[in-house]
Amino acid sequence: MERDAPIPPDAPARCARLLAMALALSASATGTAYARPSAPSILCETYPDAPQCSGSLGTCATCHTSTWPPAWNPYGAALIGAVGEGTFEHALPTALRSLDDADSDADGVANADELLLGTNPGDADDAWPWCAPTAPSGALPVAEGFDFERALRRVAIVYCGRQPTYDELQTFRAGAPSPEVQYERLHATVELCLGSRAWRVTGLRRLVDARIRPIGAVGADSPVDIVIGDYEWDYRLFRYVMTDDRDVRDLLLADYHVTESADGTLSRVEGLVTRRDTTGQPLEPERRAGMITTSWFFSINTMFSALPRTTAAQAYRAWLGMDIARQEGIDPVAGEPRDVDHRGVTEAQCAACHSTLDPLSYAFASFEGIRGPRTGAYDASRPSRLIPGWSAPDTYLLGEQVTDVRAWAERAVTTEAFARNLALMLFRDALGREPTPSELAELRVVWRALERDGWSANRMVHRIVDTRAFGGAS
Amino acid sequence: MSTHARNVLAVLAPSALLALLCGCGAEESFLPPVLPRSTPVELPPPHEVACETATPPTPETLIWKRADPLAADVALALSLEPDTMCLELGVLPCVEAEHVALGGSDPLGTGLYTPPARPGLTTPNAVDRLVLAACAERVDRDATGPAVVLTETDLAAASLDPDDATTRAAMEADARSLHRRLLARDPSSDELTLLIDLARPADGLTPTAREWATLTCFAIGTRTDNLFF
Repeated sequence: MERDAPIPPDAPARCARLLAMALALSASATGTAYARPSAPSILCETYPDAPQCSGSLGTCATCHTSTWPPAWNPYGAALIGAVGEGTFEHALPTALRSLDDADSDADGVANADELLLGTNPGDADDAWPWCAPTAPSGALPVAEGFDFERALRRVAIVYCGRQPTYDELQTFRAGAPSPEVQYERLHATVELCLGSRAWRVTGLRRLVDARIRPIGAVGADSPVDIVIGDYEWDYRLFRYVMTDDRDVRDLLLADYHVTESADGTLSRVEGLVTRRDTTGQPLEPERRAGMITTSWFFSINTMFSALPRTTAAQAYRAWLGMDIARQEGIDPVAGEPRDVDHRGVTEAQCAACHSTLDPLSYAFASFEGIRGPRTGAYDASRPSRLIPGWSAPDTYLLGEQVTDVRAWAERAVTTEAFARNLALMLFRDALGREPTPSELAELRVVWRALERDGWSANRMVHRIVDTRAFGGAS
Repeated sequence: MSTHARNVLAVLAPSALLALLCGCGAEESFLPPVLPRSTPVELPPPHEVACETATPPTPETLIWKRADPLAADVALALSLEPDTMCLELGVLPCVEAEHVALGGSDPLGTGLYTPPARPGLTTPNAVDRLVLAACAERVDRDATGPAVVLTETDLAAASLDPDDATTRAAMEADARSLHRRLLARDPSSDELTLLIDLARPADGLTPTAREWATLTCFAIGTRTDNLFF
């Protein structure tokens, strides 16, 4: 480097990163430092209003650039220096608070502000200087400057599958309507579109594709005649629950299935759906838990696994919005993982995730994976048949012990994560992107209203249409 | 730059915008060790966020109109059937053949459960293909049968003279109709003039009435305000 070369503006952050790397290398050499999987939950206890803690658990990336081998971003490195006497778990809250007013990543926003705004206090490229907007002050639940025509166009395209025509826009504008009238007309259109085929068939299918994960080659219409399951049951159930103001908790609590008539009418089917091939639903109603106990769900996720970790992880990811593979929703259970199937998951680099994932999975082991017409059926002896020495360890979901998959689902729908996941699913679908930190606060109001709105997905769509993000208000 | 070249640039600008927006992301994953579950602790009051007066960053305000609604809008606007207005090899609907390029997903075929986040490199081509084929189909039908959309202009003419009052009035009526149908709004006078000028000779070539009608339809149908909302 030349002697007179200017100091780069990101020098402090770079120095901190170098320090973190040095600490990581030192720690790795002595074997005494680890990423702390308990830290995200402690962070959320310290900052319960942080967006990453509202209906979710903190992520390891708040402090880490890598968790194995452990390496820290500038905020994590600063925390290491701030943790005082005593156990890590007891010292961490004080250490977090001691750094509130510091700006560890030198991006101009204090650490606590970043945590409460939803940006990363250890990443200088992640900052969002912003103030919470005031709540709508008028009679309408929309912000000043809400663009009703833009919202109408978006409603029509997203939920009706086409833009409004010239004549429809003229009707919307007729009589120089007041904001109140425009609001009524807008929401009448929302209601109309939510009943359209474009939404009830095409839109809702698109919304749930990544959660059902169909495979055309082995579905009911398999071109090679290898059918492992019929995912159309899953699509119909989702579409049924998400329409006509039904209770969305049935996504995880439904003990029924759904058929579709030629005219598109969806109807409940009670009891078993017994078939000689693999297109039925052999699970008894009392053991059903909506989308996470269909025959297809077990066939595509459990497959031939003795302990179906993928099944539990997909249930957690799809319906609670936390992807363990991305270090989300880490909530370790003491004494876990036990490594019941001798996969080596007690190794340090595996254990942090498996201390959450394995106890999340145990209850799913009693359901058959790919097994012909028995796919998805319940068999209490399955785990002991497939796992030598099976001791029926306790299943845990978000800190609570649950007795079986039905209880897993009943616990899941009571969590804020369930409502948050639904709101995010609908928001991303409507706007084609993630919410920004400034939009997340408004979206939180939407998901927290779900119970008040009778657990209706339609009501949630109405609320999303009212947001600044949808209506283009600044 | 010739008038014709400027007109072509104006027509292709939205497609170029689509191309510029394409990109991709990356993911990371971690594998940490384990520690016992934490216990609740007594905490001081939460920190208050200092409310600054800084202007917040502006989020993406436009939404990409993807495969199905785009095809539905073009078909509805031009009174065509979505499955036949544009066919690849005369068989497969373009909106199916180019579904992913147009922003759709392909869950049952390739296992693409989530549609692309941004327009891809071939998105402008797919959009142009879809809209141009639909426009050509509409012009063909209106030229050879009872006209439905382009009802005023003489589509059999070898050329159109924008300086002839009668011809210009007919062209303006059809351009306005296309604008209303495709964009649900009236054109400004500048937009109308630009569209009419597409009929003028450029670089020694004079478009026929059918070519003018097709190009006008295409220019309107590929405008930014038809591709984003």
